[in-house]
Amino acid sequence: MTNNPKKRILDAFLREVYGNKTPPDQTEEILRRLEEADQSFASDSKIGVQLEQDILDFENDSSEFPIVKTENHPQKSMRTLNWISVAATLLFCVGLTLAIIAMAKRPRANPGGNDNVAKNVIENDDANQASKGNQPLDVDAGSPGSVAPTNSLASDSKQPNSNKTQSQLTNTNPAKRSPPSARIPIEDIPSFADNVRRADFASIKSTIDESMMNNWHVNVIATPELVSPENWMTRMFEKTLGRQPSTADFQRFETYLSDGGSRKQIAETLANGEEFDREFSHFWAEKFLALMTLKSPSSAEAERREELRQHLRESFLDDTPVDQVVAELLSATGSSDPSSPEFDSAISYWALLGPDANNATKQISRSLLGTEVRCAQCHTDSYFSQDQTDFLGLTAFVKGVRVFKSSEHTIVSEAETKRKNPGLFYEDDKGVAVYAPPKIAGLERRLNQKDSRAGLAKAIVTSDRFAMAMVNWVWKEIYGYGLVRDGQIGIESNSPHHQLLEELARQFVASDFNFRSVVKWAVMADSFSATTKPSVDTLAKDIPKYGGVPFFSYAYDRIEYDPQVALKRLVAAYKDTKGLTLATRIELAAKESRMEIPVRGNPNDPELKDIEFQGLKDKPNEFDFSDENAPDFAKGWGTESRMASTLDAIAQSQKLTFDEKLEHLYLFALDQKPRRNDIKRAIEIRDLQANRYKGDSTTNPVNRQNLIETKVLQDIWWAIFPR
Amino acid sequence: MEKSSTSTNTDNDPRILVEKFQAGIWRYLRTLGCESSLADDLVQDTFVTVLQKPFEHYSDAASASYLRKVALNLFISFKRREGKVVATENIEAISDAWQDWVVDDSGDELVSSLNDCLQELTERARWALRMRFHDKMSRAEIAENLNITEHGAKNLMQRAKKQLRDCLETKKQNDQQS
Repeated sequence: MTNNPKKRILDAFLREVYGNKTPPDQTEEILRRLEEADQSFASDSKIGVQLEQDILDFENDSSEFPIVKTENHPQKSMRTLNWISVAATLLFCVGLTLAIIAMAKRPRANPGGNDNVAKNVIENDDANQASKGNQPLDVDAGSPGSVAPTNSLASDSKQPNSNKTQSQLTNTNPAKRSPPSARIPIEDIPSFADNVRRADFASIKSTIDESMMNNWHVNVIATPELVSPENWMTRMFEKTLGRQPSTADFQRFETYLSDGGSRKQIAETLANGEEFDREFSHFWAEKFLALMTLKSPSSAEAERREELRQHLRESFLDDTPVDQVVAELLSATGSSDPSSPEFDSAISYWALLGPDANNATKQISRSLLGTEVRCAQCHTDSYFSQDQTDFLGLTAFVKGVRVFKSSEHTIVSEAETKRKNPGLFYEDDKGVAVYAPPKIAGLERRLNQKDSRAGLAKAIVTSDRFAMAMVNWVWKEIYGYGLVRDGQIGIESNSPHHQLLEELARQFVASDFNFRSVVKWAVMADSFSATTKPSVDTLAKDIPKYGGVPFFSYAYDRIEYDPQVALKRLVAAYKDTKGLTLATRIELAAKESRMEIPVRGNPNDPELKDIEFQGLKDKPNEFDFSDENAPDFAKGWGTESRMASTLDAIAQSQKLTFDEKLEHLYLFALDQKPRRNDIKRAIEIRDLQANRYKGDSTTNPVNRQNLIETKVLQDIWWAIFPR
Repeated sequence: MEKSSTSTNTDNDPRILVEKFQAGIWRYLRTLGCESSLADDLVQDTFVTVLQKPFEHYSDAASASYLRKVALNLFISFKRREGKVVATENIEAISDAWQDWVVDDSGDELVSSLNDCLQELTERARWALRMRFHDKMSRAEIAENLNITEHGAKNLMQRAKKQLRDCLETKKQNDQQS
């Protein structure tokens, strides 16, 4: 393919002139598709559009209206009907508006929450429906004048889109709410693991191996070479106990190393043997602690963290099923004071989650359900397939906890919430209040406000997502990447391992939530014995560190790196007179940003890097190393299309400023906002890129600015994306 | 840049937007390497994607540029779904060259100019290009038909294309001066 752009244009036009293929007129087809899309949108919308559609249907479908005798006076009847419908609609709107204004003058039910007038209307509607027995919900009637406790999570949390004033809220369109979707009582929700028989070890191992092998075949990935028995043993100890085997360990297990069948004995001993029990439990308690709590606790929280660590160690030593461990943490009530009769070490969990209900919601969803809702706090999130009802549905449960922190101890109790409705409200784009019912893992759940956390614990541990999240967590700890990408459990996923994850999750439930079993399944799979050195061909397909799907055809090296350092190096690369070439980008990703590689056997392996580069160099038709204009590549070689689309949506958004785009990018890649220095460096990079376009009068200024920002943001993502 | 009114400007009418820009987008996609049927589909997808959301028409150049960007992204996404990596080595350069050459955003003028310029070529050169672009012959087959070496056929077509480019540049300059 030619590199001269005008030559390419000329070739394309010559093909048109000689090939007699002219641009077709597709106007009608496009307009038809737009119309279909509009109709689809209307049927999907919740409130305002539904009302509008109802009115339209009412007007258009007047012949079926029973009062009108169309056969006698069709024209007159039609006109009368239209007037009736318009008048009725107007009266309805006026009445509803007056009702809203009247209610707006009443004292707010919950100053710290997101109560509003429109909400009250809908609440009453819900209460009426519930009283008629239409819904299986226990609605606790509360006093409109009551005030939420100041120390509860509810009072400290900030709800999305809740910054509108009361007067603004009264001006919202008093729209009719669409009928609530069918709610299933929790007792009736079938467990996804019902009727699943516990399979034997060999059968589960076979399922894993077959699934992996099938994916390798489908994606034309070479079957991995196996590591030496000594390296396998070393890897086994590192992944299950967090240390290397001693000489005594080698001597002890020497006879079992000879063949794959006997190795199971080693896994069995490490996971269940009395000798390694303490080591194993402490190691995995530490990992579970990291999963359950925020990444960087403050020094003030160190004590609570230590308490939780001890609690988890004891639980794991006692071989407590994981669902029980989690249920205890979620429903814990009491004091952190050991001298208090109400002492409970499990309350450290809530103490560490902190007083912000929104943060607690995000953390619980991420760690225990494997679903990322951070973006859904403010808007519908297509990447993680979550919306505000998912976020607020879980928050409704989380608001039921009250965390009181004194100078020395923390007390956790039930919050005395007085919400009229169990769910919460948010405003959609049109300012319409939308009710978000209590919902966990995509299913509406019953919420008893007097004991919301018991419901929370029960709903979470019986959810299929919980079982999948736990299996995925173990897999990620052992292999570096989960079977499903972080935050995407339970949603429609194109992961080739989703089915395997579901099957393992069922077996996890069938094995009474024994995570030691999952560890054994993972380490005894054939993939665990794969070499660390993939073939060049494999590297073109199995590259999760560049954002692709992990196929586990070789042992990955997860790189501990510092995004700030990576960004600093990106600035230096932009300042280079050569500009930022593809080769520089690969350098940045492949080695310049790595600070330290903790996995034994891989540190700074020059051979591996050479192989990676070779993988690119062998494809001259796909990549031009001399070209510096490759925004697509900057998203990451092998980046999944959904992730690439999300990056495009952020970078090319016309609503967001550059700073806002940068913030979205950081939240998407790292779940943290950019620091001041990061913003400074990003602006520096953008200006450096803009300087290269100075004096260029050929490009449209709007288009040019868009191109500059898109390219810069993609390069930043490339630099900071966790490898 | 003065923003046109959304409510009064007829350019915000989806039909007018589609009619005005679809040919340019189709030709741009063909330039990127799309097959004609794929270009048809992506043109539709481009307009459906853009017009489903609120769209403000600032100017023809800005709208055309935005539509091309969306079309490009859809093209890349399509290739990704197919598991293919897109060679994006000259995307910006192609966009710049497009804006330079395709002054009317639809490409109709360029097609017209190209037809004129083709008449200035020798019969032999036109025949070679026809075999290449219409009959999709290989260079060896063209050489055989013209009774020249393969290298000679390559040179003949290269010279013809160079002549066409120069002719198009000259026509563009003349148009700008007039």
